[in-house]
Amino acid sequence: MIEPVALEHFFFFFFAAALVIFAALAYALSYSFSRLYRNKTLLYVAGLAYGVLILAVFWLSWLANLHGFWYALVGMMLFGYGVAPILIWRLSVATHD
Amino acid sequence: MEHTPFWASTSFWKKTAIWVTAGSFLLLIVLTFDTMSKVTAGTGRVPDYTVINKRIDYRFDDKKHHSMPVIEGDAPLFGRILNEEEAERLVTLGKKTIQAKNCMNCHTLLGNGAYYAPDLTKAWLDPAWGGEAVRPMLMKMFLMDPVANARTYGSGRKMPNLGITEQEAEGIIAFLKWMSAIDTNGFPYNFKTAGGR
Amino acid sequence: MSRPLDSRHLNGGQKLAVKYFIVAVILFFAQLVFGMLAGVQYLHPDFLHGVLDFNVNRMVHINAMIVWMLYGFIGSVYWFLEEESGREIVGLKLGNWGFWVLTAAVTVVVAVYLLVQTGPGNDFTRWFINEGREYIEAPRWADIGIVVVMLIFFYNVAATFIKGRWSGIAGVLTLDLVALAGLYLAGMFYVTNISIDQYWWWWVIHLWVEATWEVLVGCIMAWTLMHLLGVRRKIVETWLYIEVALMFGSGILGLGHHYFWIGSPEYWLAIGGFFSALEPIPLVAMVVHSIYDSGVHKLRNRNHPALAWVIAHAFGNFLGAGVWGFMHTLPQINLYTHGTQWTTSHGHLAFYGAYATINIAFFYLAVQQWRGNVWMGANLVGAWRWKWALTLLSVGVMGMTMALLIAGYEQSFIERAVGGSSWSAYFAAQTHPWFMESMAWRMVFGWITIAGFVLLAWDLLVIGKHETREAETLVEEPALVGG
Ligand code: HEC
Ligand code: HEM
Ligand code: HEM
Ligand SMILES: [Fe+2]
Repeated sequence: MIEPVALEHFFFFFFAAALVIFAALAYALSYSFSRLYRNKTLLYVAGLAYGVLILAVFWLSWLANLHGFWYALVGMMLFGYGVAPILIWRLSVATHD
Repeated sequence: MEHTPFWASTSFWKKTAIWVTAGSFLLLIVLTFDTMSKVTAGTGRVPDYTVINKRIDYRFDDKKHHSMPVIEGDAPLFGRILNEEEAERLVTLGKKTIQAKNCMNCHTLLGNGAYYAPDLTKAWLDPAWGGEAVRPMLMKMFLMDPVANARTYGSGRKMPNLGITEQEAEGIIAFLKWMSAIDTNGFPYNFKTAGGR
Repeated sequence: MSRPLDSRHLNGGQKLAVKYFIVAVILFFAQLVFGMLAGVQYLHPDFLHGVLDFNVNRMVHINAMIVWMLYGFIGSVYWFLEEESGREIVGLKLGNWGFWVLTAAVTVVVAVYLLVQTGPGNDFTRWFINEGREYIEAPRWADIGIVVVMLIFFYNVAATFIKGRWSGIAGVLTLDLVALAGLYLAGMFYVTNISIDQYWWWWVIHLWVEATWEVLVGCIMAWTLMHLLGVRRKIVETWLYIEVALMFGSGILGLGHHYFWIGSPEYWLAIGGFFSALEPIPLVAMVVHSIYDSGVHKLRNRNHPALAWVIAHAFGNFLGAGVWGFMHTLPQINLYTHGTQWTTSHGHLAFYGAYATINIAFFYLAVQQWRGNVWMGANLVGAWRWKWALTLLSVGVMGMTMALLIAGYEQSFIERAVGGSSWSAYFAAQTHPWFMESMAWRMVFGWITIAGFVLLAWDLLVIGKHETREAETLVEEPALVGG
């Protein structure tokens, strides 16, 4: 069912896991600010942050031996953390007018 | 406000909240029924209480890729073979004592509790207790007077005397032996027993 | 000229709320004191050995925490109940009586914890001394008392809303309280089978802090945002539903991350890993929405300390639950971190970040009103005090969290992965220099936390006392009109 993280990957696993969530935050922040200030540069920053998120998720999936069923989790994280800020922003706009 | 699309409307999200909650909860209920049927003592993952009459080990299982409890041969606790009812009564005394003495605010059981003292999930199998022949006696002495029998491995951290009676100690040991035979999906990892590999 | 705290500024529910808040602050202090006692014992194991053992100190530490936070939540609900429902509280006398009964019961329970501590391994002990199950150690008689008082509280809330105005917040709040109280029942029976015991125990603990408490805070925040910042009711309520959907959608089945190793079937590895990995999404969503809110509205903030603590809540929840939770939630790593100082590291930051902060924010809203709607905006007299309280408390808890993280990393490596969790491997990790130094640093940051608390308590007593200005009132708020 699972193949535990190997000893030598221990430290990096925590690092990668924290990076996933912080990249998700950076992406969400830069995306929302780019919308708020209608700023193109920030949108690129958001794209970059999402790029980091993708790398971090793949790194994590390698470190934690996520194969088989666990691909679904990788996909779900890429999708979920990717669309959430966009959808939530749209929802914010739509609920406020 | 009239332009609010349906997916941003209050009523849409109210319904979504209700359906998501109800759906998740329903699934949890179904899983709970299934889990209960698989963790009831004597149904496979969690052994019958008479397992305390048996020899227990914890070994790496090549098919499962993690350690599994192994039950083989007779090894009656305190020299008595107990029937189902007696075994359950003894383990129950142990569990009630463990709650009454608040062990879980120092120790973890199945990894849950406090972190001031060693995990007790496989304590029955800990190599420090020596062979099967002396183990129950050493454990009983320890539980009844952990200060005099302290080891602490250089930490100076002693378990206090909790006023555990001989009967209660036997109950606790029966409980620990029974617990060590639960299939915990390989937790604790890499645990090596005195007899095992 | 000084401005006294005056109960004439409060409605009936608010007078009761203030009592709950006072006990909450006292218990918060008790929590810290007993945390320090437990922490010292890691460094000096002979300290109070056989007198006040680690298990007693720890039990009081975490019970005081649960109780003070619940007191804060109950108080907050009583606080806004009359304004939200547009009428006087139904059965307020009973509610007052419930407060005294609950407080008396808590006092007796703690006295018995400290003086009697443990008992023989029979049913009497579980009924009258100690139930021996982490967080819900309160003996059975007290459980029953707590349920009775919760029923009174629930009656106050439901009956007041039914007879007054039934809003969206009222609906979510009422249902959430039913769930919160119902879950407590899952922790109120005895079983010998430890796997079944732990299964239900986590229903109480996880489904409280990662589901029902989050939604309760959502309700309190919804009301606060309307009153602190003047956000429109319709918007606040839509977002409350969105939050419920996201929180319950990931949090209910996220429960599975506690069912990896307790004897339950293997499918929980997949379910727990999958859903709990999605639990940070609602927290990220909140960030996006609050940026929108702060940017689009010209929000007037009439209570600076409260808003600062609300922001601390947003960050703390994200860090403690989101980042720290995610780092150890996949079974591939939890196999090693399960039940180590790693868990404590996460527990401290999450409880502080998500729940201590929001309670403190509400205390500030309450003192503002209690002092007759005093000014708490820019250039508040003595503002250094709340700023330093916030800083010291947060630095203290964050420092403890980092120390415990290092200890947890070392422990999961040396004891778990290498040593295989035996008795001797446990102590090999506990006596490692990294571990011992972390424990020492935890105490240093513990003192900083205590210093922050002292400033906080002092500030709550005196803030606004020498302020002559009134708070600006929210003009013609559509938020205050039912929706
Ligand atoms: C105040 C904290 C505390 C309490 C309460 C406590 N213990 Fe301990 N326990 C310890 C410490 C510390 C050690 C390590 C002692 C040593 O090495 O000498 C220990 C060691 C043990 C061991 C040996 C470790 C092993 O891996 O086999 C067992 C078994 C044990 N305790 C069982 C219990 C039981 C059962 C209870 C409740 C009845 C209990 N303890 C209550 C602190 C505590
Ligand atoms: C505000 C929300 C949260 C609070 C207050 C909180 C608090 C806690 C506490 C106190 C424990 C230790 C329980 C014990 O004593 O055994 C714990 C365990 C745990 N938490 Fe959280 N938590 C929160 C959110 C989360 C989230 C969002 C995740 C995952 C993403 C998470 C993952 C875990 C895991 C995996 C454990 C088990 C640790 C172990 O195996 O020992 N938590 N939590
Ligand atoms: C004065 C500062 C504090 C000190 C010295 C302290 C110390 C401790 C200690 C020693 C433990 C036992 C851990 C173990 O079993 O090894 C503990 C547990 C705990 N404390 Fe604190 N604490 C402090 C403040 C706080 C605060 C502010 C909070 C949250 C608001 C908190 C929440 C908790 C929780 C939730 C647990 C249980 C953790 C778990 O089971 O994983 N503590 N604390
Ligand atoms: Fe959880």
